[in-house]
Amino acid sequence: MKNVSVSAPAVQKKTFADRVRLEIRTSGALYIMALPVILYYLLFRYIPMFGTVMAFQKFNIAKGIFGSPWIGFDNFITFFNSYYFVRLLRNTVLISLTDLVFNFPAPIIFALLLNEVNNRWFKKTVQTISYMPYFVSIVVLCGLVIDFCQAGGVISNAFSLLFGESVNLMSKPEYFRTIFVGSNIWQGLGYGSIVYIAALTSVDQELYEAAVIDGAGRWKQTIHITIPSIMPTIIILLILRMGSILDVGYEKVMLLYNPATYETADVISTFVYRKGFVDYDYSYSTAVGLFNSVINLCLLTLTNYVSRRAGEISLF
Amino acid sequence: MAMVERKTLSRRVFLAANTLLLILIAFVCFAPFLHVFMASISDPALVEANHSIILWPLGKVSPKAYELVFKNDNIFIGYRNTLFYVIVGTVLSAFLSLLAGYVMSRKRCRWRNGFAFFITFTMMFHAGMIPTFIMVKNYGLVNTRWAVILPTAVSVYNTIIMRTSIAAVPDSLEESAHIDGAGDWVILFRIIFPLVKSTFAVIVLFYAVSKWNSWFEAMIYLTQRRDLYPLQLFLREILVQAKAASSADSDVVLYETLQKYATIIVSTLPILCVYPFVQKYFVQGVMIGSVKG
Amino acid sequence: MKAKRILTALLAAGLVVSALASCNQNSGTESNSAAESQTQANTSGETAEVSTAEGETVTQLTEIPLPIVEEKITLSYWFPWDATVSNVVTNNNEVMSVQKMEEITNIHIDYIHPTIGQEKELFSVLLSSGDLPDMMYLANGVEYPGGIVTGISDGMFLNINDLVNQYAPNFSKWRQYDEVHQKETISDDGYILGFPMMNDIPEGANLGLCVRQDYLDQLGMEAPHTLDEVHDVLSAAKNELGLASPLLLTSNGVFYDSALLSAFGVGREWYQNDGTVFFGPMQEGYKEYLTMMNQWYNEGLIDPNFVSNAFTDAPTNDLLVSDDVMMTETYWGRVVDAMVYNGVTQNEDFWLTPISAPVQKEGDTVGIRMYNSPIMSQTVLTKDCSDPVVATMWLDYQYTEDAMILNNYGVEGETFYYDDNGDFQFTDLIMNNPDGYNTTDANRLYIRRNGSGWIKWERQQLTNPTVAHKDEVWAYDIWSADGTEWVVPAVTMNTEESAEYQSLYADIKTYVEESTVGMIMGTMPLDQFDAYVEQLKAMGIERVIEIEQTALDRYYAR
Repeated sequence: MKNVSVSAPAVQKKTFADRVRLEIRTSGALYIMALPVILYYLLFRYIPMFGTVMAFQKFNIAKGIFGSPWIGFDNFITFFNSYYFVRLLRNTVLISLTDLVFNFPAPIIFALLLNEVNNRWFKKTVQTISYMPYFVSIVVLCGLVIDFCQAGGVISNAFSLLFGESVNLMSKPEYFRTIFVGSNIWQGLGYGSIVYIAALTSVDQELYEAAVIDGAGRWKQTIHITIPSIMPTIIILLILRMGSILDVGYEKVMLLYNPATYETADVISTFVYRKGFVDYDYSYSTAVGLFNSVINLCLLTLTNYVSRRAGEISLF
Repeated sequence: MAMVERKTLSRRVFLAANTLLLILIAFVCFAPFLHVFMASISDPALVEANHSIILWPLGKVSPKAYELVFKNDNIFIGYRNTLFYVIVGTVLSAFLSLLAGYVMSRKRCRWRNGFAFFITFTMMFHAGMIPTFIMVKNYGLVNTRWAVILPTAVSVYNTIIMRTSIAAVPDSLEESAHIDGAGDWVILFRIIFPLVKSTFAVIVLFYAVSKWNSWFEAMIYLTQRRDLYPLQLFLREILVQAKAASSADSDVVLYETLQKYATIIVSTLPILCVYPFVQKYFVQGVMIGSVKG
Repeated sequence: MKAKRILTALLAAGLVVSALASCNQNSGTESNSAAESQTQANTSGETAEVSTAEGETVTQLTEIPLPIVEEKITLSYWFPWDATVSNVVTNNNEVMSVQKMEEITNIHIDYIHPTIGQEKELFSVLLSSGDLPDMMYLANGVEYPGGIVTGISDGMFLNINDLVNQYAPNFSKWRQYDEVHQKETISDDGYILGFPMMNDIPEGANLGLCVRQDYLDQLGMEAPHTLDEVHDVLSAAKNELGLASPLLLTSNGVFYDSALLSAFGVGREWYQNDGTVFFGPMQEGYKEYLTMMNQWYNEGLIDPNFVSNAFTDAPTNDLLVSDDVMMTETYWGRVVDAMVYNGVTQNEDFWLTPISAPVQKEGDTVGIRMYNSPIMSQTVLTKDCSDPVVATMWLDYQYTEDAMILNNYGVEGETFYYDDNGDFQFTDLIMNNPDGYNTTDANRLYIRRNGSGWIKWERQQLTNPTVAHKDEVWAYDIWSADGTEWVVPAVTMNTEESAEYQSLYADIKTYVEESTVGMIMGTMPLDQFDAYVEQLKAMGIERVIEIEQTALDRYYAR
């Protein structure tokens, strides 16, 4: 019989075991590096998520999660049927969007302005001072805000030209959003700018030098070099921010609102808190939380998708 | 910034206006802190009567409020515990975020986007207080120090920031190191890390501040170990007085308000001092352009 | 897709782990009855046939033996406390009277203090963990969802009826002290709720209206009694003295004890007329109140910042001592010159005179005021109570006269002495503490104060500066002169009612607050009142009233 010599083929078909070995050799370190983080999320974030099923139950603390009766979507229906549902949703979204529009760019602009400062001592001092309000307890900060905006307070007095007298701005629903977002900016400006300041340090200096040679002024440099360099950071943080659209925390709103401003100030989290359901009806608050999470996820995924199509920068 | 600048008139005006604006911002940001500090050393009656911001001490200056705060041994126990939680926790967390950020930035890692989604998902879907408590209890961590450190060991936000920064480092550097036979560990710590020091400093700061301010995990998990309470939890107890009990039942305590202010200063001053140390990492001059082509 | 597979695996893992987790929880409902045979208590004492408050006849110990046990045992006690105590001690066991109690009874109590302000979260987490301490004191706003009775039927708390009938002679006697003591310690279906913090006589009105006497003197006016007189006083304060906020109103527009509102015959929330319950905010009288307040607001007689003052019972110190305030409500311990005495204000002339609730015309009376039930927070025995008989006996001992003295006044000769009238007085250890503690701190250091047992609210008076003026003006007398016929006592609802009530009432309460404040300030026109009532009905207020009425009927039938 003729010997058809089948010599070792140029491309060997790799077995699964071979592929695994190759993967371990080239990227084994990556797996090891990622392992602790993956473990953390599994143990402390994913596994406890089983509790989300409470949203579909009438949770009884004695019976636990597996003993409590199932009521399907009743908790959600109660929530949607609440007399104030539309208002709560509207307020939450509007406050969050207003915060997004004004409070998101503010630290960026602040970082850029600081970047223009030549005097290193001045820059460092302003930077350090700017993040102090972040540490002043929220109770104290809101106390100051209320003091300023009540009748007789500094800001009210300044506005008295408009009204003819110093009024209690805290009682006017139309100003709540402004006051709330304004105090957010006050408190978060410095601390929020830190990320951008750090990002600005890694902008290639040679680009600036080349630009100067090309005759570009400072403004053009900012538009064409500085901002594009920190754009990935901005976009990523924006996408993350979209993932917390419905998360207007109750603590600060509670400190600033009152019955006169419920119309614009009452948000989902404060209403649920007042209802007492946070303390004792975990099913209800879990259902509301689940509703929030789903909306947040949709928005984040959408923003991520748009960003990826538009400019290739995306979170995932 | 060592670069040539043509100081045109418009540039000068801009710089002047910018400086003024920054001074204004600095003042507005400093004011609340100043208010708290000045109030804490003022005369209590004058502080009660005052309805605006306090920029200098009212009446006779006295450290009485601080004496009262430190009279309680809890403060020292709290400081000691918080120091442990902050140092150990920050080192652990920053390290983990660095590793994860590195992995997610490697283009050859095919599952990096899945990994990013995996961790981002947890930002929106929260497990809830009771289920998390049940699991932590099952892991045997309740009433131990680790219950304070582990459940919040990794922050999605900080990890993503780290990833973004690492991803900005040009691939050419990794490639040349690869050619030289370096593995991932070497690449990460010898090459990447020095170039992302400023961002790493940022997440160290963010983690440190977050752990310094935290009290919730300690409150929930250290039910029988008051000796392990962090500072913030003790201070929170002072600040959050059960209103009904204090107003109807007890005598009027003169230094109540001042004690609250002193408490805030005592708890924030140390962490404020950390910032200047990390600030030196936010310095220009890292020569990324060292590899051409 | 790979991600899907991973997610499914995770979910499966999660289910497995959680199935394991739920085993740790309270899955078994153990027997609720007492494990008498295993108790370590000294139960050999004399017993007698006594009649309970409900009329049954039981065999009961005649007194609690001391010590209660031969060998010292430990009972764990979940005990919410407040910052005035945590400021001076790290645990109740450092308080002298607690140590003395341990000596006498030979029982060590392991006090577990939840973080102040977070009691509700910690309570939930504790319940879900499945490991409960022996006893739990449900105070500082902590409630079992659905009430203690639900807790008993859920198997979390013990049914203590038999225990009380056999081993709690003192508490049983107190339950027969008067109707309130009998009705409020038991549920509608006959379960004794727990061992409450108990007064013998109720405290009386400790909150009420007061007016600045120094300003009245300047104006040459008398303390007002009718609404018109109140109006005149406030107007004079504004126009002649230039005060910016004559009436310091609460942030929801009504005073906590319904003062001013009561002049129109209605209460702020629930009130009753001979057993029929009414919802104040719906009534015609409420509209009259709002009309009056709106008019006063427009005249500038009400604090323009009232909505954002963030208090619903009494203002904080800084607001109370403000020069711009003529009239407000506060607690008994802050009237007359207490604020001067404590140095909170430097104005030596500052003096707050308590006044009773104003009426429409002379001769009218009001039937609602601040009312404190003598039965307050309950201590329950949990399913994990290691020795219910000992716990019962220890808790019952707290209702004896000796325990009352120890828990409220401390040790004779050390913390208190009897004065010439036979009344209690604190010694210098409390009043002028040698270590420099102020009276509040010294008090907390040596005496346990609140908790289950016979508590004397009068003891607060020993350290309060307003007592110095007791003969001229005594807030309790003035405010308690108003009646309590309209007050609705603490009723209980069963689980379904409670859930329905909660889900309907939250929306209603929000709407009432908004509308009240709106109509006072004029942002909501008063002629919309009828539409507002219709809206309340659409929200289900009539069903809520029905539930409350049924609960009240059951209360009277106990």
